[in-house]
Amino acid sequence: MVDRATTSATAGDPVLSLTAVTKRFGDVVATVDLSLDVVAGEVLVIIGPSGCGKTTLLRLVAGVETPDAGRIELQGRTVYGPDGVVPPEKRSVGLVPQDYALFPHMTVAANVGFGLTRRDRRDRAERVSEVLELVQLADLAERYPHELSGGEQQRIALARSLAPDPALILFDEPFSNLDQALRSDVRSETRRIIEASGTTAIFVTHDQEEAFSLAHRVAVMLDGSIHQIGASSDVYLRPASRRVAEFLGDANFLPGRIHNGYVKCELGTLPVLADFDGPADVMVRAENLQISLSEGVPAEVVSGEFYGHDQVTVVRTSTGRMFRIRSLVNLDVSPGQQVRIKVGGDVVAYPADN
Amino acid sequence: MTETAPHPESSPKPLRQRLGGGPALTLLIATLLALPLGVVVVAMLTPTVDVWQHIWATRLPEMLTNTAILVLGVGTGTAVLGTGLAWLVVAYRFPGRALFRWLLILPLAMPTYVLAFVFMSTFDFAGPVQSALRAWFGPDVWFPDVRSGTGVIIVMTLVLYPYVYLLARAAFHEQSAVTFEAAQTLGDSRRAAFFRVVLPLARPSIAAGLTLALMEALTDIGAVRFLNFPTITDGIFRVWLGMGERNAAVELAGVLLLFALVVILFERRMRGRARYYQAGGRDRGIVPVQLSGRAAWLATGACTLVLGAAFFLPVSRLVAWVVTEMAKGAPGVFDALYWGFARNSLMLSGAATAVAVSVALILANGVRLSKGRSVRLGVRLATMGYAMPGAVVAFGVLVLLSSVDHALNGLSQQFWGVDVGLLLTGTAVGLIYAYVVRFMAVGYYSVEASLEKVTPSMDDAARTLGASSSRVLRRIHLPLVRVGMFTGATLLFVDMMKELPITLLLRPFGYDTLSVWVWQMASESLWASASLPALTIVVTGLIPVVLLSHVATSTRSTKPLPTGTTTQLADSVEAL
Repeated sequence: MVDRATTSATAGDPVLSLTAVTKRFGDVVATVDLSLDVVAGEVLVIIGPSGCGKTTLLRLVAGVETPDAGRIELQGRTVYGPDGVVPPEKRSVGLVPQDYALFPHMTVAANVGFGLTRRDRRDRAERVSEVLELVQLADLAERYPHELSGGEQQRIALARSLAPDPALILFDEPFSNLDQALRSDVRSETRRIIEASGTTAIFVTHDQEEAFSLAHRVAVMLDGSIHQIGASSDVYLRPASRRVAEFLGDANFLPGRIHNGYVKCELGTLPVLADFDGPADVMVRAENLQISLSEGVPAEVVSGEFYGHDQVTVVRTSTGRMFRIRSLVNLDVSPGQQVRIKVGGDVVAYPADN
Repeated sequence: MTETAPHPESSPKPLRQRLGGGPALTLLIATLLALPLGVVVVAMLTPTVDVWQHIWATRLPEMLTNTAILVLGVGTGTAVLGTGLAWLVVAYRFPGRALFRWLLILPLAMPTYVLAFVFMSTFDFAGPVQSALRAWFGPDVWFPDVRSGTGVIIVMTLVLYPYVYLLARAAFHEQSAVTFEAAQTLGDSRRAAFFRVVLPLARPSIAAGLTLALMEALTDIGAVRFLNFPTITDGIFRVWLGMGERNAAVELAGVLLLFALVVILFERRMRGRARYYQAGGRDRGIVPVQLSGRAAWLATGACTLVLGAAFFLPVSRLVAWVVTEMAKGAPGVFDALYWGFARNSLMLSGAATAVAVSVALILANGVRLSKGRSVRLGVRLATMGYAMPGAVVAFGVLVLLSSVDHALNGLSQQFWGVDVGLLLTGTAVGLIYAYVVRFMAVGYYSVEASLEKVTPSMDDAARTLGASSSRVLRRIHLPLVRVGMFTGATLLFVDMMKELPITLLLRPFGYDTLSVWVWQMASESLWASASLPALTIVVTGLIPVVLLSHVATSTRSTKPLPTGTTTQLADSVEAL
């Protein structure tokens, strides 16, 4: 758990503020004592494994699920708290569900106009075409949802939730139903639309690449609480705990002992980002290890995994410990070969478990 | 109800439950719908020895044998005819194939009691066929006795084979040509491949169709009575309507229930762990072979013969009678009498349909919004009546309501000293209740199928777009389930209008419907007088047949209605 002071963004008033929100389903606790601020214009991505409670968190904010305890404020107004609850239709929060949930019996224009009941007819038509213009699908206004491709459906769902000009839009794994090939295009397009509309957005996902490429800030959620929140590079390079490090990216762990900002371990005595002394779990990212023929700790190549843009080599040191090393593909080694390995980047350490 | 999340008293009900009925309402409805069957089961499990001795003495062995013969005969007949015709139209090309594909389901519109009386009036001693034969070959010409088990089995097979035909055809149609061709490349002839691959794959569907056909056979009171083949159902009517012995009738209803359970267990066994259709995509179906010469005309002839005997000839006979009656100006032809019966049928079936569709909506929404097991179990209980013969449902309702009436009477006499009489028994309330119990499954599965299109995330999306729950219901739910509701209502209405045994047992005194009128006239051998109400029922019955043919011939992803229903029937028995 991280406290609010270190997590809140640097500027702006919070659009959304959660305080000690807890939600249970029977014996299962979906969110525990969760606190979070999101500022105007920000894109926050909540990342976590399935079942960590991230979708529930979105549903609590949208108001389609009610917490058991805590407080939720939207634009300074309490929408859930000891005094009662504001229903979803009065919250001014947009939701883009995982399956988009376009209304199959309505045209694209009618779908987008669904949330604009309080405006008069002309105003409404104007807003619909304005939003369709923004998502660049103005020519599809009279189509029905089943006549659209997956990517188009996703953008219409986004347009529909943008139309009433909500204070905040929530996305529940919005790209998971798209072909791998389409995803990065749709993703950057989505980010462009969000930034152009000036709205605030929360995404939930379990996909790292998605989280890092979309987010202004990333929040790592595990077991119903947020373990770390910060800029993508911070969360990746300086994970707050061993579990966060394990969840994000390729991490090697080894025991060590810290003294005065240096850690002594199997890979040598290395400068470390840690503010304690004593026994530690040392974490080195796979891409921060290098294979060298001349310097470093001796090791034997065990196997290799080729990924196209890079490759992972697994080596074993004399202590029997395995290390994963991520490198560019120009490295040519084969199993059984004797090599040396050395650390070429940041090393992080956590107090040893026992 | 452990599956619903507990909420502190202070927090409002979760949204999803406000739109649906919530588990409590679903379970209440399920209990009400399952109660009549429970009453019969209890009666069955607590037999009264005196009553049984009495029943045994009055032809019970004969009724048991006849019922068994009926089940075996109609089972074999519909299985062979339905499967055979289905394979014929799927795997072969012959003159008229495209037309026969859907014409062959027409006999579904013909209730057993209508074909039975037309059949008897035609082939009985005094009928035109035997009279003609006597005129040509002299008075001693031999003719089989139509009033027999064989007669009943022929009549029911002709009317009920479409259930098997529809499901078998869908199953054959679903099958990929790949498996069929694989069998052929492994050395099977087309014929051998049919028996070794195609038929076993279609077995679950055929069993499902067979179950539906046999349920109708067990329910029937008209054919067995007109053709003098006393079954258990017939026994129930004799004991109750003839002798007024309610306990004996209820015990017999228990025996009938046992027969129904045997049929359902058989279906489960045949189905095994198989699901209804082949998994995975299908590139193309089995390629039909062109029949030529004699074989082609034999195929066309067979289809024509079946359709003629089961539908076109009886309908023309009915039309001819109606025309004669009209010319004569006989009573009951489009006069106040006829419209009176028609109005009664319309009012009863209409009211029961409205109740059933509303209940179906509540149940289906309850299931959609709750992932709970108890709700699903509730729905199984609520739709179980479809697997029960009409007489069983009728007696369950009768016993249940009369004890409620007695309790009410007791209370009112105790407190006000007034005898309020029978408030529920023998009124339209009892009849509508029984209709709903019996046919709930038809409405439920129609509504459920269309409600599947409304995902829970649509509710969420609509709510966050500012729609209140009533607007979500109006703008999203209703438009999407309207088609399903309409289909369900049509099927329900026609099923209820055709219904005979429940109506006969529970109708309010002097409140006759079209089906009751057919029964009364035909019982007295007044064929011509029975013709107009019978024709009305057949013509109305064509509406759902056309609907079904549309469903069955449209895209293969659309399942014909009875499939899901039968699957659920079996499941509901398992749930017991």
